[in-house]
Amino acid sequence: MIYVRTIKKTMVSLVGPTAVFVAFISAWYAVAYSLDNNFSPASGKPMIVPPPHRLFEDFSGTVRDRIFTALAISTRTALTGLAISTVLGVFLGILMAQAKWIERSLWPHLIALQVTPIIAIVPLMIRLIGANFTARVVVTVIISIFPIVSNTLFGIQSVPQGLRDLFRLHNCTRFTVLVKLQLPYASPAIFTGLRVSAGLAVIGAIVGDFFFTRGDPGLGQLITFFFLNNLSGPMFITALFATLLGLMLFLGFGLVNRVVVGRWHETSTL
Amino acid sequence: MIPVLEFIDVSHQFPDSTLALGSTNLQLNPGEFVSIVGPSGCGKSTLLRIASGLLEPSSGSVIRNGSLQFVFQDSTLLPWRNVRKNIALNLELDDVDRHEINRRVDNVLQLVSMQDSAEKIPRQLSGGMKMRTSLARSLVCEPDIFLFDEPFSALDEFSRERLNSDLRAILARINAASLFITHSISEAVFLSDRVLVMSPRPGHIIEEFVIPFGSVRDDELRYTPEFALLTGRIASTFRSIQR
Repeated sequence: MIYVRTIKKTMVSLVGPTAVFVAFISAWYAVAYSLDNNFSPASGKPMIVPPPHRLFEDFSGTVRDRIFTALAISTRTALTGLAISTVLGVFLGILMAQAKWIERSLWPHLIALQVTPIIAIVPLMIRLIGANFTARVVVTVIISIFPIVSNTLFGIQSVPQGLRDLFRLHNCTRFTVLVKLQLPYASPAIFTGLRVSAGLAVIGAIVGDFFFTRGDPGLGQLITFFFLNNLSGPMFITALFATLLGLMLFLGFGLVNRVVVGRWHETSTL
Repeated sequence: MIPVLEFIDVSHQFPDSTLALGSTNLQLNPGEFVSIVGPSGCGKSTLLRIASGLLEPSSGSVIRNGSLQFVFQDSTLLPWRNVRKNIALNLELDDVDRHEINRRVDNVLQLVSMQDSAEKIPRQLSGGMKMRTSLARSLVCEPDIFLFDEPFSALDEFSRERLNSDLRAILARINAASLFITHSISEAVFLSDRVLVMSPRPGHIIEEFVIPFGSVRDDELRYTPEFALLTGRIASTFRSIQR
């Protein structure tokens, strides 16, 4: 019976994603072969959407080196931004959990930051910071910080009244309560926020590339370069690597989450 | 005899002007087990929170002559800590020496028969075992007063009776006083030396029953005519105040 249930569970977790993947690839082929002028009459090379099996035709030599270099740069931008978001986001979440007036003071500004379109503050940032690596990191932080702050705050505020009373009865300092109760209790929520932010950090790094073009080109700049030079294959591969980077960070934090809280928190899954 | 806990004309009003607790006087003597029963919302938990110091009374005074431990309605265990570390928590928070913590935790694990589960985390425990761990966490502090806020209310009848018997046996050995809030009259009678009945809100103590069954009580007590008679009398008082 358990054996049958395991097979059923495996089927459910495999069949759905496989079906969607097959549908996606089919749609990709359909678009690639239904577009007018998608293939060069002279060389037969795809010009707009390369079909999946021809995606890696140009993935060699300079193209490959440029993609890997850009990948390293975007990874550095995303990780730097994510590290700053994590430290700043957890700090702000903790700060807001200390008093209702602090939460009420900061919350509207965080919402405003979250909903402000990046393009609206690009000119200001170029004036203040320049169109460089720092600006790209700032964009990454702006895009990725919100889930970490909100989840840290939510996690700390979710500590049951009984546990808070228990610590109160021992006249614990705020620091002891934070270290021994609030942060461990909030850690599953914080990790959930980190996983969401990891994906957003990659988006931030790529978006930053489009607006701030000084310095070594990241994946965003490279996508623009390949687009302007009609290199659709490399452009798609670069986009694919951007997706893989986001996925790796998402899964990485899922793994850390499982190692840190998986033993005691039942909702921690990859 | 100097009471370990005394309420003198204590009352409490919530910020929304609800009078939760009317003028209440009570004494808890060393080694005594007192239960409080009363209808829902009559202020039993408020009374216990005032006794613990978690809540300041609006008027009157509370005198505490000894250390106290609170056993909550939920087990309030830290889910990332195993049983041993959960039991040690209160001592850690009181900055007790590590060797002393280990010694006391070992003793208490034996007292509550949890040696075999010392390394388990709360999600691996049954409801009864969680409550047992919660109880152990308070026992390990060796307080003079225990405050129990319906600790066994979420348990099934069998686990509840077993824990009642174990609690009675454990407390008989350590000679601490207990103030126990419960909805169960039979639980109150089985555990207590005195049972206090509270009126509906604003709650105050309207009747006291002395329980004459001595300090050693076995499970069979629950099925004796004397036990049934006493629980019947308390239930009758209980019904009359709810009319």
